[in-house]
Amino acid sequence: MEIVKVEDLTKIYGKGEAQVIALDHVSFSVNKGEFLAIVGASGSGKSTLLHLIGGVDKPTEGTVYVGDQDIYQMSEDERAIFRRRQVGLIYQFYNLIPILNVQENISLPVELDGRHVEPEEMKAMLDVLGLTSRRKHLPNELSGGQQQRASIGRALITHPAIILADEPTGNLDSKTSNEIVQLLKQSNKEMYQTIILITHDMEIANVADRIIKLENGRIVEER
Amino acid sequence: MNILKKLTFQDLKKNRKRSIITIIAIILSIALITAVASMVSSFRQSYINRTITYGGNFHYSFSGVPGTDLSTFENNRSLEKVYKIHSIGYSPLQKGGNDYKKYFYLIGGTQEDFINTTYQISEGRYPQKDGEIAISKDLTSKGEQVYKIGDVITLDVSEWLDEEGKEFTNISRDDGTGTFVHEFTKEYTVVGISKKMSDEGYQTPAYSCLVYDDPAVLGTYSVYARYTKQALANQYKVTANILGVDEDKFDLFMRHKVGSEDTAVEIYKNIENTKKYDYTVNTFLISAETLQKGDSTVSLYFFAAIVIVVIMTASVFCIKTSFDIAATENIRHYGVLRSVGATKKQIKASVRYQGLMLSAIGIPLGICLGLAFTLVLVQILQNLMQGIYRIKMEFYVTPISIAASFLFGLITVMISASRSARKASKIAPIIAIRGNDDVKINRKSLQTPRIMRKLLGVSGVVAYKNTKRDKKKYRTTVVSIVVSCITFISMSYVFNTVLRTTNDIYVTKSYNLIAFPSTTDNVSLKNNVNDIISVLGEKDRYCILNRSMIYVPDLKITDDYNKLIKAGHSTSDNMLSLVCLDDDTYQKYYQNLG
Repeated sequence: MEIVKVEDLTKIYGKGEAQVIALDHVSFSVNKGEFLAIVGASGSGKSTLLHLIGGVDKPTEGTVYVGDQDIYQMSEDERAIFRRRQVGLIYQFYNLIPILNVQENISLPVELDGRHVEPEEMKAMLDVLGLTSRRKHLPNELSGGQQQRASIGRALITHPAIILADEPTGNLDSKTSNEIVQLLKQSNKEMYQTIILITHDMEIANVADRIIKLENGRIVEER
Repeated sequence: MNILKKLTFQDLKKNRKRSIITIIAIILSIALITAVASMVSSFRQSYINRTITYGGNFHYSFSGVPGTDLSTFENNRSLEKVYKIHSIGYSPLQKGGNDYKKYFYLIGGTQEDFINTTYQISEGRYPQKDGEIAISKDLTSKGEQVYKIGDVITLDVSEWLDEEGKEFTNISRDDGTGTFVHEFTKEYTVVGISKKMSDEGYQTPAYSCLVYDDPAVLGTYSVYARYTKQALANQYKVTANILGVDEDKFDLFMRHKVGSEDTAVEIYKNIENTKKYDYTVNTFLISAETLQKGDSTVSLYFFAAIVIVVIMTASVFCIKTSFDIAATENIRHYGVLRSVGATKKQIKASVRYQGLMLSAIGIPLGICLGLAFTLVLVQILQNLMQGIYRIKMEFYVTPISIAASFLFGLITVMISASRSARKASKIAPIIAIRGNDDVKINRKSLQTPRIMRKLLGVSGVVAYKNTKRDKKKYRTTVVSIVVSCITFISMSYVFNTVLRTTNDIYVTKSYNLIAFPSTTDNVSLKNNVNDIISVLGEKDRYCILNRSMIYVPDLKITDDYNKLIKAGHSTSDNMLSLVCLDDDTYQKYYQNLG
């Protein structure tokens, strides 16, 4: 069953001489529960594609369906609520709120939705992430791996339809990178979570069910 | 506390320096607004107090009221307060006085009645029991007080009746008419020296002296009534009812809406024939207490409103810069919030909440500072206002002025925060996360004029390019400077005008005392002038014997005089001011000219 469907997606930055085509008529789909890796060199359009799927940027052309909804037909506030409930975003530089502790950062999307995370659920999440002892710590008191795990917790807490991970291991050492990838794999297997992961590391990409390779904003290989 | 409020609170705590600076800006702005609002309320109340001191604490007064009618005034629900002054009678002066004033005029009442009808005590106290009297301060002989506290005087008190046998009360001039009917002889002890703050009239035949009221004594009353707020809104109807005249006619008459001259005369006659008492309207107090079109109080409010708008505008730019800095610093943090699903509304609410939290600290402190500032200003203005306008400035704050300051302050802060809130909510999450919205450069705008490099060097070039990054940001700075300059110039203008007015009053008058002779007959005028000179002694004096305007058909004027005319210091159009001086004054003038 298709959960994400991208059709003719194009993104152009700048005008005239300074124009850059980041994505050039890209089309593909992702099934529910699938673990997809998108690989490519720097500037190939991977991050742009991920942000467009997550609804945090706007395409120049094309459509993105999540479930049966075209997310760019929604108003900005509807798209914000869609992101809050249907998408979990993981960034290379974690993007945690520096003045909130681990627990507060994880519960942020739920709180923004006007709800609260049940204490048992939070406890279970912190256990899975291995952050129970660090739950009251601020992001700057954590290691890179711990911060990334907190950001994975924030992405998973709403049980979203898709998890979008933008080079989640790009800033980590190989041991920690492995731990993070395993955590994503675990959520994919155990919670049947759809994951789209961006990386330029083929070793990490090989963990995925399917790999799409981008070059100059176009899909050049799919396996 | 929801997560966004918590986030805002943490942000303010973490960026303490920025928060304190914003709070200081809010405090200063609110302090200025409060100072203006409380100065207005202090000035207004002081003006009302002055009007009460010199004109009495009543809206309408009714004279010739028989003692039997007093209860109808006391029971009238439209009247908030009623003060009664009993016209007891006249008694010939034993010493002191002058050609015009030959009598004591005894009026009875309580201390409260006297205080509220402009009778003050300058020495001693008010009479508090039968047989006590407070003598008028004006009863002097060659500048010396005739009676002293403790003196015992015996007075033959008579009623002064007109030809119809009706009592004269508080008559303005003795024209030799009427008859005196002896009432009683009584011994009084002088307990105080009284002073009437309102004009008693130079030619009234008697000095008003206060005694403790004895209702058993004959004589009518003057009733001074303070109307309730509702009654004041409907004052003509209420007054017509008291006077027993036609409500509609009285209303038309008082509002000057009588139509033709004939109708006016008819209505006037009707009122005069049917009214039970004579009445006067204390228009100064009514206009001071109620806002009426064209009143000075309305102008004062209008002036204050303009000043508050100027302060608010300047403050908005100042505080807004602070919120803008906070929004720019937090741009990434708003981007993250947007990417995890915060709506525009939630981001806006977060910035506004920041404004509210800072206001919660800044506004009360600003109000306190503003009140303290006003307290000092009132002390400084005390002498100035007393000297020029006979207003004793008093610090007076109403809950309304505090509430208005709070409201205006909150509006100022919320307007300041709202643009930053809009800006923060508009930012696209991806741009905020990447942080690349901060710098908007296009190649053309980065070209720096050569003269900039030559004049200011590399630092000048960098500064120039910086201003080209985002014109909007620098526009705020430029507008802030412009608004500050406008505020400074307009405030300086206002204060200069006040100082100039003060100078006009104080500096251009080169004398301390002016005395007018009360005759135009040449011989007695000379005697009169000599009398005045003998009282004043041989001091520096100028004597103007006559001053008149004359018309000269073919007037040739010098350039200097022409300049005076243009500056508004003299008259034009062939009119000449002719001033006659006595010999001494002329000599002094001549010597001064060199």
